[in-house]
Amino acid sequence: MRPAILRLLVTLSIFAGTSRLESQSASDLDSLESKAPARLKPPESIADIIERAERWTVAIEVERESEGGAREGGARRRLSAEARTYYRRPAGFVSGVLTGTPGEVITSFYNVMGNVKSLRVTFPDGTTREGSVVARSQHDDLALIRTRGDRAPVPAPAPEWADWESLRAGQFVLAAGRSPDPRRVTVTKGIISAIGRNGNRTIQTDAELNYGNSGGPILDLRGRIVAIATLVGHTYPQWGFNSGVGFGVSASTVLETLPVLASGKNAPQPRAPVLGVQKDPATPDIDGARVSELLEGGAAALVGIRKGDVITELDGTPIHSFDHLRRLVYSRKGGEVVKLKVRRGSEIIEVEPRLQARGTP
Amino acid sequence: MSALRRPYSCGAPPAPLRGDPPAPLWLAAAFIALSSALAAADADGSQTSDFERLLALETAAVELIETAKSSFVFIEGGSGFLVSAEGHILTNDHVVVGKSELVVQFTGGKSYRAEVTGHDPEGDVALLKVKHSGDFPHRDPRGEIVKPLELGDSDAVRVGEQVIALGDPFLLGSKNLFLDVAPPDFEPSASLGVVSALHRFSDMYTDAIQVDVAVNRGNSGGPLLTLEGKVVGINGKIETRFDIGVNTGVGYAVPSNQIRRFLPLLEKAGGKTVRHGSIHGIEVEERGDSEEGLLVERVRAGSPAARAGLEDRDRLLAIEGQAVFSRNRYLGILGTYPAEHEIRLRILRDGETLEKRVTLLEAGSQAYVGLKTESREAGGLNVVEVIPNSPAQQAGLIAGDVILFFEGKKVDSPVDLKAFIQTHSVGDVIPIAVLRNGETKELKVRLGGRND
Repeated sequence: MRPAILRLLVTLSIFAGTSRLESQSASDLDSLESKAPARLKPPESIADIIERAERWTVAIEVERESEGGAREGGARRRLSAEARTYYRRPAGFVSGVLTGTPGEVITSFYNVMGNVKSLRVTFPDGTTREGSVVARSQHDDLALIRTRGDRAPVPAPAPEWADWESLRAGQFVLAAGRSPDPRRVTVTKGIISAIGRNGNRTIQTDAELNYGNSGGPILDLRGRIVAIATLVGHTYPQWGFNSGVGFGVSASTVLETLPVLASGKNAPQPRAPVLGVQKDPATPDIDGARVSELLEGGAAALVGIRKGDVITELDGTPIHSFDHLRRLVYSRKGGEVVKLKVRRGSEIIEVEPRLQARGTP
Repeated sequence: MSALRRPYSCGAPPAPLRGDPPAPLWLAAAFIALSSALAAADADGSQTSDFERLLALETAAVELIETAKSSFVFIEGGSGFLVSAEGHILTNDHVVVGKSELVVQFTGGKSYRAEVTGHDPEGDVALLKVKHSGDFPHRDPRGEIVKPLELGDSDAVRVGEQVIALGDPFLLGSKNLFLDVAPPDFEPSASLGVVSALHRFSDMYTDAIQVDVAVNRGNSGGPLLTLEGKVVGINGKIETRFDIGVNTGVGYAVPSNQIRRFLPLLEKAGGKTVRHGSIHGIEVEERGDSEEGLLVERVRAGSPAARAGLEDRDRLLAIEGQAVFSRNRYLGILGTYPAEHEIRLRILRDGETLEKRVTLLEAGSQAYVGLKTESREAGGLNVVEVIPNSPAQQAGLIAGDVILFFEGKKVDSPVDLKAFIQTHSVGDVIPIAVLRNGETKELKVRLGGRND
């Protein structure tokens, strides 16, 4: 027991020493300013990872027109659970991550929703600049901020991002945020709980994430950003209570979305592929997906699939349940043709519907 | 005594977790450590930095989750896991309460029908069995047969030891809160934490493992794994505040050693309920927190406790080697054993330590004598009818007898008789004074159970 306490004390005293490293790391930033930075040396300690988080994480202060406007007061009761959660969140700094382009910051769209009057970004070196939202992706809860100012742009070291394929559940992660103190990061630890939430666009972590984390980085032990902490799913009131179930928009999603946002365009709502069949809630799927309803004029109806049919194969993959079918369809795109095997009574029928995109006129 | 109390010591000395390099147990608990500054020498004298150990620990956690999740199942709003090659699945009873058949889905979403082979509502454990339909044993996405998870030794778990929970919190994997966008991925959630305490008594969870691992609604029934991949508990209960129902860092798991004792019974229960055991005929002190054990205030004559050789004023030191120092701990240990199980008791009597054995009987069962009686003006009870094959008939009672005393006490009405019987337990032997044909006889009745 005693050695454990000693170690903990040593740990704490060394940890307390990190803040003194700050001025030193700030001066290092200059060497990282170039747009194609030399790869950082792999981290050899947690301190190295926190140092990276400090280099890449910014604080954002958002000032809004009166919160909710006319909705405040009596009408607030009629707000959706989602809106109530939104208006109830605490005031203060939120977090963002440098993109590598000077003056650009990627953050959670949730952070900049509403009638924003002004945005102030505090960079890792302490510089504060006014900024505005360039574009957003509501679906992935991302927003790109660009700061204004005629002075030379502040250093913008490009973060290292982890590709989604390399992620695995169980990996250790650190979440960093610059809240409540924009000068110092707050770090929490956890593991990746699952990697493929929200159609492989979001990871789940048990690291403590609170409101100030939103928009901040989640890093792995290689010092790479695996995700940006998000409030996707905040319609769950539980989220605000830090239940050990938190989410981050995965780095791959961020990298895929960034060029779109940088061009000044909001990312379009993805148009999920639709087969146009509905699950039979009364019968459990054991082998195959039983169709209980068909979307009129939908892909399935157009090739003659009927109520009561059981879809057993998609492009050669045996389907074991309706959810399995949904997942396989979801991984395709609207407009693609798929081969289905369908069991109707004792017959097996083969059809080739063309998937439609959700929202197709 | 000190040896008996060992499970309660909270020092968790660094110990190797799996092979080489050794990863100290406290390591990720002190995850935030600036590890480069803390280089430690391994047993072989080589220097391994804490960060390297952390990386090794991470590898272990990743591999463990990868392997264990194949044996995980989603059960209509809860979690469960495969425990036998024949398709037995363990879960919490509250996940399957009132059900005899349901659909389970393995990681990846493959569905099977399963039937409940046994309920243990007192211990919050249920056993299911996959109904074979030619496509079992289940195979993982690589085509390998999914192996059942092994139950570990929950008494060997240490406070501070790292554990992983697999589960389906908020049904994220099976329902998906992003439902309007993407279909559920049927991947369980993993969370990592430490064992906070052992032998917690929290209502039905009489001997729970307390963890700080994030566990939420939907995790119920999921496995609590050591870093060696052994199941040491089933996550089923959390302390929560303000009725919000989300994790607060205090979760409870049913210990694997308790589960192991019930498994054979659950397997053969035919979908019915298995019962926990208790020692009948013993009254222990309400409060007690003593190294000298728990005081036995009274042992009822003729009761199973008396037959086992227990006496008034004995001090109960241990049950099956586990120290008893409070009423909660006494009930806590007993709560992990099924009825009909024989347990060893260590008692202290007049400075001497003795071993006794007692067979547990169903907890809370209603004792039954099998008599219809009516009040009698002169006192006592008239026996109106004796139920065939009842304990009363076996004791030799016949209609027309007059019962004067039960265990030396006057009983003057059928209601009093009922109340008297209810304070007794199945198996208790009660002396009865009977007036028959003007003569007083002593009979002994052994109380039966209602279902006997």
